Amino acid sequence: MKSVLGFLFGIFLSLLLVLWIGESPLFVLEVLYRSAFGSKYDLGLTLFYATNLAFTGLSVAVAFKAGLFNIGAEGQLHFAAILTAWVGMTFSQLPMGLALPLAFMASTGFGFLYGLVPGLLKAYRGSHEVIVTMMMNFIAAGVASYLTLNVLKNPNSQNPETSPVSPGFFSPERDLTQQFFEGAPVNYTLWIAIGIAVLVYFFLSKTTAGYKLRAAGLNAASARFSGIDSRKVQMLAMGFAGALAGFVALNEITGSAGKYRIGFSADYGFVGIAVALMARNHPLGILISAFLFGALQKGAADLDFETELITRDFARIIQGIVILSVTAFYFIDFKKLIQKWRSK
Amino acid sequence: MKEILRLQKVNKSFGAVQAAKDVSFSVQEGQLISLIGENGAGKSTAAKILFGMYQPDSGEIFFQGQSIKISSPEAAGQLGIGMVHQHFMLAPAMTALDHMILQKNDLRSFQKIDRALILKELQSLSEKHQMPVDWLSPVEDLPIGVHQRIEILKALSANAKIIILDEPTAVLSPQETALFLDRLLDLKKQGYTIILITHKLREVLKVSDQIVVFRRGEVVGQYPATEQTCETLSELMVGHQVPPLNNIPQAAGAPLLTVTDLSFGKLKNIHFQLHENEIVGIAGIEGHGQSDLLKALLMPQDCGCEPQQYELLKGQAGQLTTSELLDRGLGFVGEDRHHQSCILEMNLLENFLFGQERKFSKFGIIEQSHLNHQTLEMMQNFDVRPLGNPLLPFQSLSGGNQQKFVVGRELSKKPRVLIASQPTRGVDIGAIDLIHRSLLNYKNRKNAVLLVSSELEELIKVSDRILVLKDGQFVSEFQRQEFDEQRIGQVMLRGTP
Repeated sequence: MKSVLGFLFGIFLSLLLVLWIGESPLFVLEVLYRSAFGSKYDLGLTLFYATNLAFTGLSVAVAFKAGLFNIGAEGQLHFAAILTAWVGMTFSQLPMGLALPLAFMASTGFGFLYGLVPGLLKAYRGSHEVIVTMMMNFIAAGVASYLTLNVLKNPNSQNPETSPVSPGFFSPERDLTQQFFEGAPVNYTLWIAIGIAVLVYFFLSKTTAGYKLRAAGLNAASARFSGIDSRKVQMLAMGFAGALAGFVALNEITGSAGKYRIGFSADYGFVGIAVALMARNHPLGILISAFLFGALQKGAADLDFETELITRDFARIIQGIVILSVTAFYFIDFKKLIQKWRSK
Repeated sequence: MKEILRLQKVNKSFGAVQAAKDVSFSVQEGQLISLIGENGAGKSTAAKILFGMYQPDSGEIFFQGQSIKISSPEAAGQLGIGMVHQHFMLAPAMTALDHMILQKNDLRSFQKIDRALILKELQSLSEKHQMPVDWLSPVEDLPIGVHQRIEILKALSANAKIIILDEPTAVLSPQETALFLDRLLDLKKQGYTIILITHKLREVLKVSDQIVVFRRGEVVGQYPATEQTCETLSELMVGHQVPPLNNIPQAAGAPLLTVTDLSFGKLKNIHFQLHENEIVGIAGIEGHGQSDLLKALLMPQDCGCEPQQYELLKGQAGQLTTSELLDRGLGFVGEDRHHQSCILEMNLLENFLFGQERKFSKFGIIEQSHLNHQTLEMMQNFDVRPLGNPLLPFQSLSGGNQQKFVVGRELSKKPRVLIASQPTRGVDIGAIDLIHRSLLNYKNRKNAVLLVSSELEELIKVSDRILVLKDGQFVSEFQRQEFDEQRIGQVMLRGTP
């Protein structure tokens, strides 16, 4: 509730900013609305962004519940994506029924491994996960660029991208979701995102493993005395965070692009932090906030076209304002305010 | 004698809980006044109102006869009111000297700090009040008693004339406590006014001029100390008589836990055994190896324990992990509740689940209704209030109820050996009595308890045997019939009777 109020207030502030630079706030709102929900195709694009943001948001949230700050979703998703693309190119004879499960395992598995590294370093060497994941973002970007340009390069393309994966891994014409949204890049992974969010919610709140993860995250000292191995928890939580970020690779490689393209991620890993923050790390709330941020991302592109003064970067400004205002709203005690106001 | 402070019909609520109801009392200049009452009775709330940390909802505060508003701790400081909190607010890595410099507000930004001069001032201050402090050591290396001195000297050097102390003796050994109380009397002699918050009645009677008794947010009355005894005071605090505890010793049975020749940290070649039907008390001044002993018993792997050095229920336990030990039948109530025994931010159900994940789950999925049922049953048995809503956050319980919850949870796991460290620290009389009774009850069912406590009185009340820990060794052993507070205290201090 507070998050929604904060979100609306942030939008309101952004519109004031729009007014100040000399555009009509009503027009901007209209463009944003049309761009996000105007047609099936537009909605599909919004949902495509939202799918990726849901995965990275969940990644950040799971780490956060274990008391860790995962800045590395961006690196994890790139690492998973380039290797999933490699898998897709290598096992070219597989039929779809085997290829997709393999891609599923590859994307989450490689994400898991890439997340596990900072987890291990944190748990057994005490290296701070923020520093390590940040550095590993650069490493992932470097590795992905190298592999793309030197090993897996598409000889028939001018773009910095790999060759397409085999049809078993990527066949959009058989994707009903994509058909329904009139060719927007949204695809079957949308449903996986929703399913995973529900699973993460169930895991965190109903299972003993999720309970141990939260306990170690809130109070590692106490947790140790109850027999919880908090180092193991930290390690695995980072691994899971990486696996969740890895799903973005599944979306990109098997759902929308069919190949790895350098720079395909619109900073999903970083915007995921905001998505998790706005949902207060609630897995189901993340679905909603991912959708809102997805709409913003989509809207910003169209604002760039349709207005004179507003550029694509404006989305960043709105995102920033929204995050600040959502955060600020946590600290407002509305009950108390109402009481005070009544007693006056 | 002049009145310096007075609270008049002060009310303060936190949400639905009324922490102070029409609280009135008056403080005379140069006197030592004690605020006593059970946990959650409102004494700390009253003190925090005086120190400007809380604003009263209604009522008045008079300072030297004038009605005033104390809007913040800084404002209280300007009136000459200082406070020493129950949980000291010191940064572990900084030296004592740094802490004193930090609170000097007459320093400008970018001014050069004359550390030598400040150190000299402080040394003369601490000499004057006979509170020696090693000013140049990081605070984390200093014992807790010295932390307290630092806090008091902080207040004194800020020119406080009225000093509020919140449960100052909770962390001190009997000898330290005696010294500390002497210092308080010295301060009083020098004209300082002292407001002491405590629940230890014998101390109160020893040093106070006036006693204000709190019960459930209200002031029962303000009495001159000379008119009261321990019995009358505890009756006033609780509202009814507390029946005496009766430890009927039983013949000790088979050994349940054996430690042989264990050295770790401060511990040097420790030997001891716990048997069925006995409570073994560990007496000793804090910092003589108690925490290492607990660590070795709970995390033997991390302590370099050999398998044969530690036996639990006839099996070697020296290489087990904590969770394996707990599964074997070990229970633990930690001295530092917030860092050893609970998770404040979680709800009551989740805190009951703590360490019993396997018992309350099937295929890794938590069985909510079973958990809910058992939590409520335990809360009822151990009189944890408020009863009814197990989804309340744990931190909304008062300290006494939190502790009852932890003890209740550990006992409901039905361990064979319970390790309890300071199980009644900072807990009110009613809760102490209940915890003691449950410990006795528990050991009489062929179980053993290792009780580590800094309160000799408590050890004498419930133990069957007392081992005195000094410099990492058990220097002496007392059987129940030999218990004598003076003698045990001597051994704690000197190592010989």
